[in-house]
Amino acid sequence: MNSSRAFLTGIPLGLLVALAGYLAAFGVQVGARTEESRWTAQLLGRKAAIARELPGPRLLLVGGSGVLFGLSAETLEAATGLPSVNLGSHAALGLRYVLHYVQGLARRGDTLLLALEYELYNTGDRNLGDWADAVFIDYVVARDPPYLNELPAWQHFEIAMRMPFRRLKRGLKAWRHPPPPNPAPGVYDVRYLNARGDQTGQGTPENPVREGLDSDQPFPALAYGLPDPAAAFPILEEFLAWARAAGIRVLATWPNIAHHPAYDLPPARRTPTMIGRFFKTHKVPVVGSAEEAIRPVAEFYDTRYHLTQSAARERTLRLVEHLLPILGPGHPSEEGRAGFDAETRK
Amino acid sequence: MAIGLARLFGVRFPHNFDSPYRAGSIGEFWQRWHVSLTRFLRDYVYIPLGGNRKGVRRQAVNVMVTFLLSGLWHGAGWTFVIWGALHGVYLVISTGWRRWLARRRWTLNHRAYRGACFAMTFVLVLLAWVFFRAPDLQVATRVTTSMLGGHGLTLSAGTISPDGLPGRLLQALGCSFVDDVGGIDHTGSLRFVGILLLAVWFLPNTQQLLRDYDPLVDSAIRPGRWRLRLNLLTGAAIGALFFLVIRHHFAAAPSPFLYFNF
Repeated sequence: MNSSRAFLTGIPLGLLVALAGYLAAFGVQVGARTEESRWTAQLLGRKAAIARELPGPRLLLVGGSGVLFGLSAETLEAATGLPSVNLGSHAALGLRYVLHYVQGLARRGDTLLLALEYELYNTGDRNLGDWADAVFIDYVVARDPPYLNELPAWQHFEIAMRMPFRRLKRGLKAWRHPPPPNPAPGVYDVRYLNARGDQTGQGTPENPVREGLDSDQPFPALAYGLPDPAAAFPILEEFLAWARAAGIRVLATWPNIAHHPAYDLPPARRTPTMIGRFFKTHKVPVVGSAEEAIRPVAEFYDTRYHLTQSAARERTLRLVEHLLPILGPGHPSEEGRAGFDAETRK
Repeated sequence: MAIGLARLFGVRFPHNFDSPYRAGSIGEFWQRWHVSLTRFLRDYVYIPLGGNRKGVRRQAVNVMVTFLLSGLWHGAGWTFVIWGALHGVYLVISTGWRRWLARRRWTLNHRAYRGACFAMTFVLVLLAWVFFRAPDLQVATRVTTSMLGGHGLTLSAGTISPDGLPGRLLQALGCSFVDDVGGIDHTGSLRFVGILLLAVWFLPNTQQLLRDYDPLVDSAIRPGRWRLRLNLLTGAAIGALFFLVIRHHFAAAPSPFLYFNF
């Protein structure tokens, strides 16, 4: 073999060997439980257990950590008499996964209340890079290999290729020696979940409000408007069709977000108008208004989406007023009426 | 890329870049950076204007006109004009300095002098790049002001401990320390930049590595010490590197090709 031919043979050979080595390294650490994914895994596990134990038609709150921190299933249940579970998890898991999680728990007769963060409306399905961020990759690879295996082969491959080297290293380390649990930072620990899956303890004397939120910039998805139609609409349409077929009612509401002066300007109306139109077209009742969900900065704990515990309760009570007429006759039940009165007196 | 793609079609290009960040002067930088454009501007602008044949002042004017045109060629905006003007000024000063040395028959060739020239050239080129890449003059001014210490000197406490001796010395010089902001790993970034700089300054470029295979139509490239033999092993190594490039394509945010703008 002359040197040119040997060189040209070497290129695909080197490529294939490197690819095979990389995929082997990726493969062996699938299912190795990284410490970084522990909180999310425990969170989803605990909420799933709560939801499974609750009998009868339930009200399930769906979204990312904006729901986890910002709505109170306990308050809703007390006020409506409808068994409620907060299934809010982590927006970084992406819309597809957040809905997949709910699909595994919802039953015929349930009511789902979607309070999706604005960025979730911008996560489409076509480009994996839109939604498969580092948190999602870390989580599904470490904690949900069956979901990974259900993905089309190309997306599975893409997730392997998109995994950061540092995460791969951590995964290999966890595969050889499972890491000991680290003390959880602040309220990011499942012991702060109440019996209905709500986050508690944020903004209390034990866990005071953090100084400064994650950013003082306006959130572009709200301030400037998302592309119309939003990338997530096809995923939502698919989900709504599934819910209809499964006899599950879907309602929608607005995500809580810290106020910024940019949200008072006309461009900030674009995204809520588009989302409202989408739900109206698909006959999904929208509870409350987007303006109402824009809360003063002082009500937030550590990010623009995370309300303090007391603010979450107040926000939920306001939501109940809009929700009761939509839930229809029988809500609140006698118990619920008493609960609502008791909650509002607190 | 252009040289390699052209060779696939049997065409040989002249060299266009020759490790420009190893230049010891602005003049040398322009012999190493975008050589085809430099050659064009020299032959069709600088020399027709009179080049260095009409006295020192006229030469300075010719240099400035040539570099202002070079700036405008790169983009129709004030940032590009300033970038060109800066390089023109650099070159005028550099030429004047050399002339001044020559008049005194001084030959400065000490390692320390060459090192200082190299460092100064690198920093001046970087300073000019701010104008080249900034979206507008306001941003460029803000960045250059920060680079020159106009907004104070701040270091990440994760990179240098403020309590150690170097940290205390830097604080005495007016430097303040902050925690890593926005989840940016400053120490990792500095390390990465350091590795890239070592590669840029000390590793041979591809034309030097492949000079046995005549990749270019000219032979202006400085030879360098290392050569690459094309065999199974080097092919496999390039294949493995190609894998990393493909993987990076999946993981990284898309970056538009800069020269599509020009």
